[in-house]
Amino acid sequence: MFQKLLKLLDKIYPAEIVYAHCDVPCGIYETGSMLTAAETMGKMVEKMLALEYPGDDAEKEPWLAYKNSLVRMILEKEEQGEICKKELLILWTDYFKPEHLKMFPNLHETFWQAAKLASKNKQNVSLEAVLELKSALRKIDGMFKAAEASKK
Amino acid sequence: MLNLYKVSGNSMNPALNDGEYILSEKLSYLFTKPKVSDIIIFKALGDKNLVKRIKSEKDNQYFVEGDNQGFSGLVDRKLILEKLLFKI
Repeated sequence: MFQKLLKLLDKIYPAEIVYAHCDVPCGIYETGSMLTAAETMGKMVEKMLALEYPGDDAEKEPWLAYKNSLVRMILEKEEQGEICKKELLILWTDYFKPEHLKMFPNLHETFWQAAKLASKNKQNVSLEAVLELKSALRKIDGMFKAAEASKK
Repeated sequence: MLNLYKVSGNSMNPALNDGEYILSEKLSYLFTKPKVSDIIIFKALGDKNLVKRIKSEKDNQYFVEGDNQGFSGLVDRKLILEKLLFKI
């Protein structure tokens, strides 16, 4: 009875979700996904910058074609930015352990900055921001490889 | 001070199951430090709230893990929001 009441209450006034997911239950970690996501974001920025503006008084057809291409590129960049942030979160919270802080005292700051840069790339259309993100991700890739090598 | 949450996911099985409701509170962490074996709710990157159990602590860095070992990671004290009171 109480559970039914709770579920009804949840429908009227939904309880906040708290996640207990196993992001990588198999224990396999990699950096390729976030690097590819950043590369794709970079390609989208290049394409957006190269996209020819049809002009304010353009005919409907070229104007729609321009808008359609632009929106598709924005959506792709947005999606890849989310992938990048998600992959960073998995590595940060699941892969790296307390003992890694000895190897990388700036681990938290590095991840925080990289996540911020992923957001910056979602907010902007900037090749400079893409380079900053790639550089931050390469740093994390280096930390990941060093941590993996230390296991052997 | 009390919050109702709905659990999503299975990493805290068998203590917490997917779809269950839990009640948490933040008052006790205003006066005491989170301790090992506490089930906590903390803020993760991307503004998600996660629920995990504390396994160890050093210098305000908490190592948290799912009860079925599916998830583990470090959480800063500042990101710990609440302590689980009980499941409903």
